[in-house]
Amino acid sequence: MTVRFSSLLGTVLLSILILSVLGCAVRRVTFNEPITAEQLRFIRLGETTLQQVVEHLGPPEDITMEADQLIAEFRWSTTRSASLNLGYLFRLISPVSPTFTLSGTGINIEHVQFLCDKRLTVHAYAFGKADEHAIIEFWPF
Amino acid sequence: MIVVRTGILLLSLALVLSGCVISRGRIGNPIDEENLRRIEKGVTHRTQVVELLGAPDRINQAPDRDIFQYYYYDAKSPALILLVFNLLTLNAKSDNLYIFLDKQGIVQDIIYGKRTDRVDFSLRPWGS
Repeated sequence: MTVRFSSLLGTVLLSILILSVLGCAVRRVTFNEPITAEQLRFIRLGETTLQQVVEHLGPPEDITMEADQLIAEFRWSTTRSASLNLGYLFRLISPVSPTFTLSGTGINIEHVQFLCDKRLTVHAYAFGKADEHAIIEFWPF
Repeated sequence: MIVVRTGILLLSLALVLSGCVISRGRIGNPIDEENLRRIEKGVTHRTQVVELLGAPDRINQAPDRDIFQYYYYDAKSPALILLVFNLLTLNAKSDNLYIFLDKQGIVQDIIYGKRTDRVDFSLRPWGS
């Protein structure tokens, strides 16, 4: 009796697991590595050069000139997308399955900017604000 | 016996790799580090820079200097496409080179960093 019950429980759990991933798709796109405030602790404003920053963090994505100043911008991003096709459930009972998909995408583009003088010495830096999106966001409403 | 074993091995391999997708994309040309080492601050002229590295991908002009930018992007994308579940990741990284030139066209500074040597085929949808 106990063996039959555990076998039944296992079957039910496996079915739930299979049903829960039916029609699921998870996608993730990353660009460059995230930069954290801890990684910038070595910077001494007015002393550290852009070259030293690049040795620690890699190269900036963009450098723009503003009068006597230069702005170096480092960018990274994570895009997560997930979808759930509820029409897959019809495959259990029908050879033809309709499409009814719930899908969500979260794009995080983050950046940190360094303000340098003509000699490429860092005088200030600032992170852009960004909200972290969940790994899986099916609900589009 | 060897034929059967080989058959089982190939079948197992086909089952394990079934649904696997591996792709790769690149934008631009890798920066030629050997030629980059030939560029000397205060010596090399912009015409020599172009001879060594080709035309820049972008030129940023300021009143007292120009910046030549060269970039290269590399992306690796593994995916698992199963009947009921799909998982796909794309990991991209960039190399950037900036060459600062004064108004006489002489190289003043070089900013270069490489990330594309760390692009991997990891298939994980979590993490930052």
